[in-house]
Amino acid sequence: MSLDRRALIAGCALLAVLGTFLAMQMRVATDITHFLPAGSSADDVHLARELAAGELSRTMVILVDAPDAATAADVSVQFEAALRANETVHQGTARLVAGSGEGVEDAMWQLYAPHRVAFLAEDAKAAAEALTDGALENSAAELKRKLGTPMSTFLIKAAPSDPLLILPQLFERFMGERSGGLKLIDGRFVTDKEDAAVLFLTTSTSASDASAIRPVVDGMRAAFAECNAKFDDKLALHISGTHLFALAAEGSIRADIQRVSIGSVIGLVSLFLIMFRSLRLMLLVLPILGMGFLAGSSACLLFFGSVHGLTLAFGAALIGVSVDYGVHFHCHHLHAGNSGDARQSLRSIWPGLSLGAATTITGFLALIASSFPGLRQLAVFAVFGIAAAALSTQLFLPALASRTRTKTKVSDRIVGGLHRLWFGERRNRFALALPPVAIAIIAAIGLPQLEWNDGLADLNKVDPVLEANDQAVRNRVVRFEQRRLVVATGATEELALQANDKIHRELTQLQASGGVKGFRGIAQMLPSAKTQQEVDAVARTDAQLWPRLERAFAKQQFVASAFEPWRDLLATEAPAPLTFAELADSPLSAMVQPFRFTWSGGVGFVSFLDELTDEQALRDSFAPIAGADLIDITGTLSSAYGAYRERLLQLWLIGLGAILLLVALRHRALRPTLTAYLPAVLGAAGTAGILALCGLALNMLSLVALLMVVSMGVDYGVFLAEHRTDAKARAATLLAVVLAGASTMLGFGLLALSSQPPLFHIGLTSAVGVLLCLLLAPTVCALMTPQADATSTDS
Amino acid sequence: MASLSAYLSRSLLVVATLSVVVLAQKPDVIKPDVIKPDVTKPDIKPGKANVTQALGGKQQRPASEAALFRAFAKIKGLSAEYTEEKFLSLLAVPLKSKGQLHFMQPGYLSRIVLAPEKSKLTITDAELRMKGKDKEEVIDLRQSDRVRLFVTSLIQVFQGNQKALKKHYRIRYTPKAADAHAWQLELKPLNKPLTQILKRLVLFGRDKTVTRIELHEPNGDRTITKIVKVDPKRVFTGAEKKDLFGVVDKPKKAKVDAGK
Repeated sequence: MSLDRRALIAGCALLAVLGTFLAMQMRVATDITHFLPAGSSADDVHLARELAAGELSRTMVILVDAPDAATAADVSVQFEAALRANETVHQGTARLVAGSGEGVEDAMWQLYAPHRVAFLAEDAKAAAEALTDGALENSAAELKRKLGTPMSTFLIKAAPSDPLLILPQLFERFMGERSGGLKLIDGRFVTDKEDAAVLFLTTSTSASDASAIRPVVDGMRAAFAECNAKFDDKLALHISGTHLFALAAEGSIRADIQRVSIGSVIGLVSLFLIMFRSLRLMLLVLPILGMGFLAGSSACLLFFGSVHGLTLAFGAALIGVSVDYGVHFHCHHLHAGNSGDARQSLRSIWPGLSLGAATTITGFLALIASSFPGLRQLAVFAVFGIAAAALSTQLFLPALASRTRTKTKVSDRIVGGLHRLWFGERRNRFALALPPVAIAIIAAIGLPQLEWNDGLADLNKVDPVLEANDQAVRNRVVRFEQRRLVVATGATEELALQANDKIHRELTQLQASGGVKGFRGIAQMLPSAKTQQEVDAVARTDAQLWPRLERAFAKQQFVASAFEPWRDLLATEAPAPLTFAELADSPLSAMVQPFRFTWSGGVGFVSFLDELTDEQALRDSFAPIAGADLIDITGTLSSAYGAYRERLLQLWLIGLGAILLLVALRHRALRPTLTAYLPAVLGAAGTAGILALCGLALNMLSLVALLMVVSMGVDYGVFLAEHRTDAKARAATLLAVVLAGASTMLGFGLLALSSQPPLFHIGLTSAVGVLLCLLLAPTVCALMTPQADATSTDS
Repeated sequence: MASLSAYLSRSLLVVATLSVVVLAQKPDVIKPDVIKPDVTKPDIKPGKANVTQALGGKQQRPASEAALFRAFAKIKGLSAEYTEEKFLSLLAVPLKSKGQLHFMQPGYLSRIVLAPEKSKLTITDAELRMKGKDKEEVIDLRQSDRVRLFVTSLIQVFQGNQKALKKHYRIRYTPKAADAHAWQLELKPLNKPLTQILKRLVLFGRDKTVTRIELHEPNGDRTITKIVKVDPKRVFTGAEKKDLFGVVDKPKKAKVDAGK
């Protein structure tokens, strides 16, 4: 068996192994956190990232319209039961809350009654003020007033051990921060207008993980259909949550991948048929493409456990790059006048091909140093994909090459025409210099006008209908901001709660001054242990409290001895402070869980804001509080993008330098080095200039695309530089470059039609850049080639 | 990103939680030295025959419990003045108040306290609204069965809703033997949670009018409300309906001109 055949079999076996591995292990992620910066544990970026990906973002708000409150309550019961009975929903749900839950009232009493002295007031100072003679007299008068109402029946039992009505006032205090938008009817959540049942469903996976979320959402709709049938199909379901946007994005990305893949294949087939009247080139190209795609995907699975949808879309566009190798080989095999066999043809182009692959890999290696998991994955895909594609040429090309080497008239004419255009006797060096000069001028004018858009929101294209529906649901239920959150963090839960206590005081003052309309946090339900102990001590250590209380209540004609249970309570030892764990382990869990989060820095508690108008005052008040912060999630991440984009630019420039070094080491002469390198750099600069002049702001993904432009542009220059002195080989390379450029532009051009901003930016930037490189590579080569060399071997 | 915190009205949570206190604790032992004796008129006058006769005049004592409830159901609107004394174990002296009571079918009750401190209490089937000098509290009765059962009991009496009351109370109607016009209606709760909230509710009346209401609690506390100057044929204007009960009359449909 010949070497070529053995290589082919080995190549096919490798394809089969990779394909099987991928089929068994493939997991596609659409989690947007792949494109969120991974910051250090101590900065806002990390917090913002945690909050953007945490439980709050995993919670969907579900509304079911109903004609009245009673029906809404009934619907709530039925729908909750249907959701819990649905297996896919059950598996994907971390928590489902539709009402106050069984035993909430009992739990409140059981948990707070033993600690009521510690909840006398918000802090020790307020506690002392509540126990002055005047305050005690006011408390007695208030109790007497309340006993005169029909509700006295409910107070009469509690008052003897709670004459100051600590518990009723406590519950009034922490319920005083109105959640807004909700009522309880028969223990079920309904909207304020009593026109819909409200349920909250927290998924166990990230809201952006579309593959995990889809079955849950499908299950929800199925459960709703089942419930709706019981109400004569008169109900309407509305859902709000990041999940739906992720599903829409995933669908869009899948469609883009499909379009690019199918379009690229159709385009390539058409091009090759026109050029060579044969699909031989497809046979050459496909296994290399397959190897590159499979190797890149497999590497991502091994390193990251999954492949992001955007990485796959990028990979589909990478088709245009690895096609170059097969095209280059085929054109040389047919047109370079090489008398040897296919393997000889491959040997003749291998230095250029391998250098081209090496420069591409070098360019993408820079991304591995990025802080973005998504970009690192892109880099891994590109590095392993390109390397596998380049190496697989040795396995596939010789065995699959044409034996007859039949040239078509079309390809012959094009080869001749291209050669005459750039290297013919009548070529005009002045005219040849025009394109690079023009592009340089465009770059010089456009680059200073370049603007960067680092907005996180612009990385996602949101369906306006979806967004409007989402907002409509939130307007009926939630009144708190989603973008800005107050966080109290600490290495331990106690430290975080202490910070939260201070935050609560500042927010209360800001609310009083009108800087914020309202807020909601956990401080009223759970002050820190330190605060609880301090408040408790104010009452228990006051030896005169009981006699003063007796006097104050006697003035209101109370029978002082009736309050001896209170006296006896004060005489006992204070219980251990109430903890979050106790609340979380009770029917009150749903009331407290949304406020707590963990991160690598420890524990945090969130407070939600309603119409913050004086942000600066809030930030100023937080300045002296350790662990207190106002996080603008979108703003923080956008700023981080800007910083990381600048870092990426540095890496990009380093990558450019490394590419130049590689090329220079290969040729060790100025002209061929410039032939290989200049088109790519000028092409990238011209691309940025054109986009800037067209008013398009660039972002980090545009930088990634420019990196690809340089990598591919260098390929064209490298191929031409290798064969600049051999007319036939040079002519064959010209044809290869034009074909390769056209196929690459096809792939990226299709990507530029995507509605997803990341894919649009990559596609447009790359398509323009490749076009410029395609124009510049032969032009620069012609300019660097002396006339004598250009025409001395002219065919 | 939605907050999962439950919405509970301030007052309801207070009341509902305190109701847990009530239900969780055993009734107190009555302390006789704290409760003031009832010095109102005795119900039965010695020597009077226990005769129920159809009076030739406008008022007539209902012959039975059912007749009494039918009579209540016929009352479209009622206004009265009242005085009230609450005998509570916590207080050395009874709490006294006086004011006005208003009732309108199908189930609106408004109690306006004129002394010692002005306030207004309005009860409907959906809410209890207490408005004082400085603040107003609203309790959504749909959010707690316990509170609703207790609060709406009296309204159901005025509604004449015997059927609803029989679900939760043992009802006993006793015409007074000594007085041909006097009667007594006693409601004793049958089951928890009502048995833990009140011991019995007793209405005293003459003919078709309630003259006194006594609420007795398991711990011995009691509330005695005397009702005077009763107008059982009260018609409320639109403005009064809004002011007293928070009810806004629906605009009448325009009459169609048959000629056009």
